[in-house]
Amino acid sequence: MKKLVYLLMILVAMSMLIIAAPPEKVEQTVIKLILFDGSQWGETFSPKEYANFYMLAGTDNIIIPTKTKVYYWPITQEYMADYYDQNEELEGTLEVYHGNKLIKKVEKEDYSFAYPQGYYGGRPELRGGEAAKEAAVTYQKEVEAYYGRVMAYQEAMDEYRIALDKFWENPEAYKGRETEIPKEPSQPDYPVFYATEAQRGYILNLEPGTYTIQIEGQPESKRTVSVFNPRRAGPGFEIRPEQKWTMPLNSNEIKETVYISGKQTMYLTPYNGLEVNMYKYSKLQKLPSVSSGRGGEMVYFWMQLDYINDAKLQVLKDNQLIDEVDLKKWYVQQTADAALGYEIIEFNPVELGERPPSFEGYKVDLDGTGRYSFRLVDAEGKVITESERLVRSIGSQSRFFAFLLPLIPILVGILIWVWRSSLSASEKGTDKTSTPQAV
Amino acid sequence: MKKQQRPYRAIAITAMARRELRSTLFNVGIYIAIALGLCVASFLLYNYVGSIQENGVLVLPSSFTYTRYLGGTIPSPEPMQVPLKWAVYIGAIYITLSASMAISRERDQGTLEVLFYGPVDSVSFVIAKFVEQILAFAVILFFYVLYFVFMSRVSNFALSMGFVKMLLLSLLLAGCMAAFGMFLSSLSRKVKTSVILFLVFTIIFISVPLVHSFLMAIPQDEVKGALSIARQTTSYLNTLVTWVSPFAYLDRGATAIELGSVAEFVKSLLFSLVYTIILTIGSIGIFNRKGVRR
Repeated sequence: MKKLVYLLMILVAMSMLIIAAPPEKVEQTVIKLILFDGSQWGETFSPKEYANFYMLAGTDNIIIPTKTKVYYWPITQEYMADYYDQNEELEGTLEVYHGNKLIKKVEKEDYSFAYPQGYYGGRPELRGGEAAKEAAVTYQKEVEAYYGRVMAYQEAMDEYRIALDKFWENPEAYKGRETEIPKEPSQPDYPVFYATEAQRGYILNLEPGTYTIQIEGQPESKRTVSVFNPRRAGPGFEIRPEQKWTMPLNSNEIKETVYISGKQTMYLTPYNGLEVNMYKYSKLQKLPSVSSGRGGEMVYFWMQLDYINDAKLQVLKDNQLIDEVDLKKWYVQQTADAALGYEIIEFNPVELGERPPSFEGYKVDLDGTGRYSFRLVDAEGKVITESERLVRSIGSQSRFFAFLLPLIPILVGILIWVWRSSLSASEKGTDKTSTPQAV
Repeated sequence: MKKQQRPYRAIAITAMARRELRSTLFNVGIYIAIALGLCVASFLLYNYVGSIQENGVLVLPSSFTYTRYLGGTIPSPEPMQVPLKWAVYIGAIYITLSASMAISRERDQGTLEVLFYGPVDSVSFVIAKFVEQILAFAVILFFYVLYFVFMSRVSNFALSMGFVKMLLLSLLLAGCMAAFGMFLSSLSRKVKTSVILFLVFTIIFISVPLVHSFLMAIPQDEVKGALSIARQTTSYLNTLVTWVSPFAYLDRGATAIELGSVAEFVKSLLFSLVYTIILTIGSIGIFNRKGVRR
């Protein structure tokens, strides 16, 4: 019995060892990739097992050849880089070959990501060279200015508290002097501009095609780059019917028609869209994963990118402009009684306090008659390419006829069958139509 | 000698095709096929209308685009094109079934040998059968056009040049399907064998792309292990089917219409023609080798 217990203990200990076994790390030169996906930059890397990586054409991307430790993580079936263990960036000139021809030499430079409209608003911008340092300095100055405002606010608050104490000592004394009653200072505004610290890398921007890159004289850094264009691009719309605001529909391209039934109110939120190859785009986002993009070599899909918030929406009826709408924030409010229901009201921060808006969009009311269309126009009134959508109202009798019409060919068939039967009977069963004859 | 042969062939082809077409039109089968096609189209249109009435709004087509070859099978811009495509599939399946029995039935019944005592040779026989299938499909399309024009009026669903292009493509699909059916028919001596072959291939041609598109619709994060391998396997199979399946040639054209690419559209027409010619020549070759006797 004791032997059995010991045996079990050894087995348990061994199984624990197996679970705790760390993956084997191998030192190799990888390419750290910070790639543009159409609206922002995401990070992945190219180990030697995935020596072919993907990039969008005509966009700035960051390439950083690095010596690090790589291991395979079976749980998620992907290669991982342990930059904490080893992170030695390679120096030198990056050579770009198209076929055997050297087409470009790229030097390492400073880069940073700037967010002019704040980290959570608008697209980031990649700044290279001196501009990267300037962006970092600008952000630093913004932060310092903010601290200055915070200090001033603190001082103002201290003075306010003293003045308030004085006020409470004898409030009656302020009768007729209401303007002298101390007022609470307003909180300082947060800095809007944000930029990451300047780092160093190779900024690569290529036309569609297949290229080979490597650091001059360092063949271990050699990789193949497949640069691709999106198949189509253009503004898309999230379309929220008023009665189902939580279930928006997407319209990604100009050829799509919006069908409505009767009178409708819709909320339209425009965004930038890209139609891309699923395999290439998945690899662009996550290269060293076995499952990423697998089977998607011939699949295209639309990627919904960032929202468009600097345009107006024009609504046309029978090709005549009937309305021009601004983008507004909306708040969905439950109705006051016990029954289920809601109403969508314009977002008003004064009334709603710290509650955030439910969504942003253009409100469009359609009466369900005539032919409508809508389109986006920029600040100068120019129609944004590919932003137009047709709206059609469907007929109410469609379902009835959808039932009825398939019966007609059957009716024709029955008539022919009856006619042929009568013909066969009159000809005593002779069928002239079914047996082939020599010509 | 050759100059005399041509008119005889033309006469034989015309006479046989006319006779076969008459026989087809006087049978109930073609009307059942048309009705089935319209039922599927009606089912889709019924769902579209129902969905619009329930939700108030519907965007057609859906956003996810499933692609084959260099373009893809994309739900078309007008709601009429998707029902048309499925109706055309059913019509084309009927044509393939009919074509797959065309040679084997005659051989099986022994009428082929009798036929060849007249001024009929393998070329005129196969081409006559092929022409008859195309004409029968044109009749099917005629019913479809009437249906869709009427439904467009009633429902207000758009019909445009894309629809007309789809009709043209459909005729070429019928060519591919008829050629494919004839090819199967020429391979087998028994009707039963050719019907079985037809069923097997049709199921493969339709199910492989459907299964692949179903697997590809699963979100990337949920695709692990066997599912991931299944995705890759169906992707390979789908690539193969893309070149072998006559349905794929319609899909290519549909993609070209969707992308508005004239070059791709013309290319898809050419591919369909090449496919049809290769299989028709193959059918004649196999027919010659197997002979006319049972």
